[in-house]
Amino acid sequence: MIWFIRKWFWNFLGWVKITLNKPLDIPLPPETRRSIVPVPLGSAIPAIPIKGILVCPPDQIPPDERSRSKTLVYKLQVWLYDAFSPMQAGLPPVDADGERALKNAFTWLHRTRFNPPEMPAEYLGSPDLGSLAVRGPYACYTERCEDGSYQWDLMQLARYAHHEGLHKLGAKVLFRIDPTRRALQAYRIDTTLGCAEPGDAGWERAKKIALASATTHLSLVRHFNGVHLIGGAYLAIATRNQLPPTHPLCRLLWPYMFGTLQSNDIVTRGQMVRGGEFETIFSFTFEGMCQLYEDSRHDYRVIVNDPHDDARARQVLAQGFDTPTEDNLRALFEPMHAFARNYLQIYYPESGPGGATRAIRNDASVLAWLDELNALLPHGVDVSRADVTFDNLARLLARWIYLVTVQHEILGSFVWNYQLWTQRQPVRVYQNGQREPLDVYQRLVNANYNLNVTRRALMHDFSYMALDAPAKAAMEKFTRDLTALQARMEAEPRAVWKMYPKTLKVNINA
Amino acid sequence: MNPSDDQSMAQAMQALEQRDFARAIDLLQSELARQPGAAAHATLALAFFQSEQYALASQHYASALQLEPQRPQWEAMLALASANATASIHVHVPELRYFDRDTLLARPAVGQRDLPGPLPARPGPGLLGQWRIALGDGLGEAITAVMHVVTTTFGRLAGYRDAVWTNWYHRPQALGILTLAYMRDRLNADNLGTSYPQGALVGFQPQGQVPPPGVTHFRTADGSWNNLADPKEGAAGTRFLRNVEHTAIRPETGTQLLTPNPREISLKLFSRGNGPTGAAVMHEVPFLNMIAGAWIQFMNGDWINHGEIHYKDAIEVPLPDDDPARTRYWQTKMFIGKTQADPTHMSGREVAARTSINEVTHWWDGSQIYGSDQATQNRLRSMVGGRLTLQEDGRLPLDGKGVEDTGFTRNWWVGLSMLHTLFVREHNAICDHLAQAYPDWDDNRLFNVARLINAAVMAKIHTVEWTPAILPNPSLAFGVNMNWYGAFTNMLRKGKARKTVADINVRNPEMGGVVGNPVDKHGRGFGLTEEFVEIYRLHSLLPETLALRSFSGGGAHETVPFHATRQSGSSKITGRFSIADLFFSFGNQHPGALVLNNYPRFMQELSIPGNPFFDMGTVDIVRARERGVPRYNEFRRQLGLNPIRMFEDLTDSAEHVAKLKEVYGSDPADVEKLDLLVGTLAEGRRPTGFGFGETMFSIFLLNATRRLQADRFFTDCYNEDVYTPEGLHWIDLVDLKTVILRHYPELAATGLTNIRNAFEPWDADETLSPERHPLRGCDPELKIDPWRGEAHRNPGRG
Repeated sequence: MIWFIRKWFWNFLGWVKITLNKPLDIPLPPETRRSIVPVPLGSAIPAIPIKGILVCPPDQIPPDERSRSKTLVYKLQVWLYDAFSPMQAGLPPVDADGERALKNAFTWLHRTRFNPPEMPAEYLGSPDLGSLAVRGPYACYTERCEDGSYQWDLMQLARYAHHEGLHKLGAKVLFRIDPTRRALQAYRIDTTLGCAEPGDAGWERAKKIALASATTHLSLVRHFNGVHLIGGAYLAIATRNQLPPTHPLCRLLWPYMFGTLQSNDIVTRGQMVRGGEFETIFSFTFEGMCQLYEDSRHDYRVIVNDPHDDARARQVLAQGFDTPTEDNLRALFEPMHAFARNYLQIYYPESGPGGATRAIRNDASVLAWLDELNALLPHGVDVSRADVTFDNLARLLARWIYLVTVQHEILGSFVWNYQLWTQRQPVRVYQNGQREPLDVYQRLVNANYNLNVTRRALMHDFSYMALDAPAKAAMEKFTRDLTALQARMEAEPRAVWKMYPKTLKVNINA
Repeated sequence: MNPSDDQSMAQAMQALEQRDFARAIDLLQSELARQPGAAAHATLALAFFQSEQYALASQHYASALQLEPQRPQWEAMLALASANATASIHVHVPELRYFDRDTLLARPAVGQRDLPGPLPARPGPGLLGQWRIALGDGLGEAITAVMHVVTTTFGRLAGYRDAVWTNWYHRPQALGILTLAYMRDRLNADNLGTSYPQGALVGFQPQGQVPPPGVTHFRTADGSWNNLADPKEGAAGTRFLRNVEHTAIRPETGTQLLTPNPREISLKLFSRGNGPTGAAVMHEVPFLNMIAGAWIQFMNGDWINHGEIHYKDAIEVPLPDDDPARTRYWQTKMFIGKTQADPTHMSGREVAARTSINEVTHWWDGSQIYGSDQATQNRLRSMVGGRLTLQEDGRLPLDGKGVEDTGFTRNWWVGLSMLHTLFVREHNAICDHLAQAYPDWDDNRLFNVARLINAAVMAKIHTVEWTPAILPNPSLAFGVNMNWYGAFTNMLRKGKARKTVADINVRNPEMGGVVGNPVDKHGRGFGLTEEFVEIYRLHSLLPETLALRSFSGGGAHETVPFHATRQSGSSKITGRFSIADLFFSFGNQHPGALVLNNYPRFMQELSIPGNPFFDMGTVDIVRARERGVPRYNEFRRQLGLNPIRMFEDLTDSAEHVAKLKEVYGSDPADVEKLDLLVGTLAEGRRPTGFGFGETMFSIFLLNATRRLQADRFFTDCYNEDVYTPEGLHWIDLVDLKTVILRHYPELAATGLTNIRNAFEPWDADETLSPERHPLRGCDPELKIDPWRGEAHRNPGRG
């Protein structure tokens, strides 16, 4: 009975949040702004003792973003973690049948606001890792090894403290190319339990550990650390600090970063505090999770926001196997890149050889913006005041747009269709072979549910940000290009792994 | 050069005619050394062809064509020889083996370790469960009594046929289904005959055998012990039964067997027309894909086969004077090896004039995958985790001849390879699923439970997907779903929410479904029949070539002659195209319509091991006559259908009527000569939407239910104790689309996701046409905008 009340209380809370949440209206940049001085996360939110990640302190959240009601709701939520936790010890595991488990957790109340997840074809049987290596969110981990095989290397996750009773995460999956199928085929998985190959008794368990590792890394490191705490936040801070409100780049970037600092502040509390979603859903203890965040910030590379360069670096293109997700991501990147170039050309015209680049190098705001980004991001943004050109600046702008739209979607809300099938890809792998208990699964469902709050669409008309008619035209062309891409994609059969322009949001804010 | 001008050439031609191919080759090689020429090459090529040396034949046809390029006949022979060489057609697949009387009469051999023992029964139902059972039983009793009265009364009063044809499809759906139920009842009452003497058990087994351990809960490899009281009922190596009276079984011999000349029938009534380039033009079925064509052969491999034919005891069919094969093969007769005799038949002491043995189990038990004997089954198993053996790349293992190794390999081609691979993978997936639920089960238990589940998966797909796909008629679609689920479930639940055994399972086959309700053999032991074999001669479904391409647009793109996909040609193709590509290719290609003049041309000049020139069209006619299956009109009478009075009754096509009269004669009595296959293909008046006519449908109507209803494992034993709850749930969720996507998820972005029934064309368009997807019009789940494709219904996530 207690579990029934607890479950429905938290279900209702999640439902209220998703029901009341409205897409942000994005105003023009304010005339007057205060400079933001980022501080360590542990200073901004003492309950999360992470020093290496710099965040905007709560008292510096810009007034135009600040939402007292949202802050209050999240503070209430965090207080409830102690007062009436969504977790309850000793509950039985979820149903062995994934559909039934989901039906029990994703109740009629949830369904009034959002459709249930759709099972990817890869999960209709024992997960097809080879297909997942090229389709869907985990494709980002696929990289070429020196010997010509391919791998997902997530072994580093084994280093962090885990909850008791769980197998350690951390896996390296090796793939070989099946030339007839033009596909990758997993042939070996290394975990802390040893090496497993297809047909071995431990193969299925190794697959679960590999997928649990991938989905954990995706949610904690790639999504929250990479997109929210590092990429999105630093873009917002540098843009607000260095680009004046009437600067063309400020107007370009504003829709993509507005609201990030306020949003990050509240969701970081909700997810990362002790007893928060990350600790109670995933395998790591609170301390283990904090250490993972400390360490993984060093791994962040801005190239992950460029599907061309990232795929090239991982050597996955034109290697004798199909790469549908990479193709999909590059198709989405193209209009963004074209938009950035079109827009830049308006303000930095090519009035002679190298003219555009010279104009950019003469723009002190842009140089300062680059300086701050390079200072904030652990490995910089691959473009500096010394080497900035028209081309690399356009690409960097496209990468930022891609980060907050495509990357945020594929690593966040998009996981909806993958992460809830825990019978196929668990978030925890128990040593005794059990499935996740009801409370863990329910919280996983609710956490993912709330990632789907209604947010402002990328294809919304933001041309009111334009400083002049050519900029307005460039923005409108971007929307038309996305619409055309959407139409092309809709002419083909839909698939769970495909990302569509229509589903993309303009920024990362809850 | 004219070969007959030369004495040596004349001798060679004579040797060819006398079928002394070794001598012909010697002579021709000498001739060629002396005087190289195109004709000499071509004649030598033919000698090599006739002696099944297809690679050499191919070389010499190529040489001949180099010297004289414009010779269409040589080009055709070159293509055929090359394809035969690629496919190693001269090799017998499987090894030659003939029925042995002692083996056929032996007791079923189930070893002590062949089957696991049954697990302890699960706890009985609780109070609610007991109440549900009682309710289902009570409802069933009442409904059965009412249904019987209603069906019989309605059938008798309203009738089921007009002057010639049945009329159920002209009636409103509910009355149409009632009429079909009445027709089925009549067939069950009047058309279930046995081939064994009265009182004898199947396979002349002694009475009183004690069932060995395990047979109560598991299917045996050879199909024995399905009926615990008649151990060989439905087993491999037992007789085909009959759907007609013994008096109507008149095996034809001598002149009668060859009248009208079956080769002439094949040429005049079966041959496809020519396109502008002279290539055969196939009349396509717009609403089916080629997976449906391959599927029925896949199923036939599970159900029926007469085994090896005799190669030295042949029926000689004279080739008509104008038969192009006379010059092409330099022969005047075609040789058709006779059907193996039943060595258990006691000539003169049995009512049945002739009997034949089914090489495979009669049951719907997946024997094409698992084999019909224990040794084959053991060979195919990995003996680990219950799984069947696959190569590392997921393809079937190869035998020593380069042909895929599986339970049934006769008439092997790449379409079978795809489906066998798919269901071997499905078996293994079921094993993995069971192993997760029951980690302490051993290999043997996992294998045997998975086999039960996999067989039910195939039976379900055939019943509720293949059948309505080829017969897209609303009443029929409802009827076959009734067979599986029952009318109540079918009306009250949609899609995958339908459970084969409902929570309240009404104990009545119509309302509660055949599957999961009590076994009912209508008083006669089960076995498939000679008549069933004859109506499954569906060769017209096959195209001349297969258009193979990659699902992702990259990779190879080939048009492969059907010949080249046979036997070892199949594994060569699966080495070039992935199974996913093959499914995609088949999903986007249509089969041929089951009508006159639509028989695959390649099958009219087929080469088989031991016989380089074999017209399957001719064979299809000969077999029915040889096995005593009545000709068309008598066949209809036997099934309670009205005979046709004249050829004009069959079809409105004046061209077809004229051809029929030309072949069979124009006297009104000549309609009685009409062969069964010709009549069924000629039937122009077909139930609405049907891919074939009512004569075939009658046998189908009888057997579609009986295959399920007579099988203990689809009826009395279709429960959690035998299948496990996980197994029943697996079957409830399955359809062919799911099975294909489970094993080939890369197909998720193709037209497969856009359609509901994987046997429909895999059209990717947003709007699907009623002509190509007729079932959507009567799908209760698609009441809103039925023609919008599945993959365009909810674009984007969520």
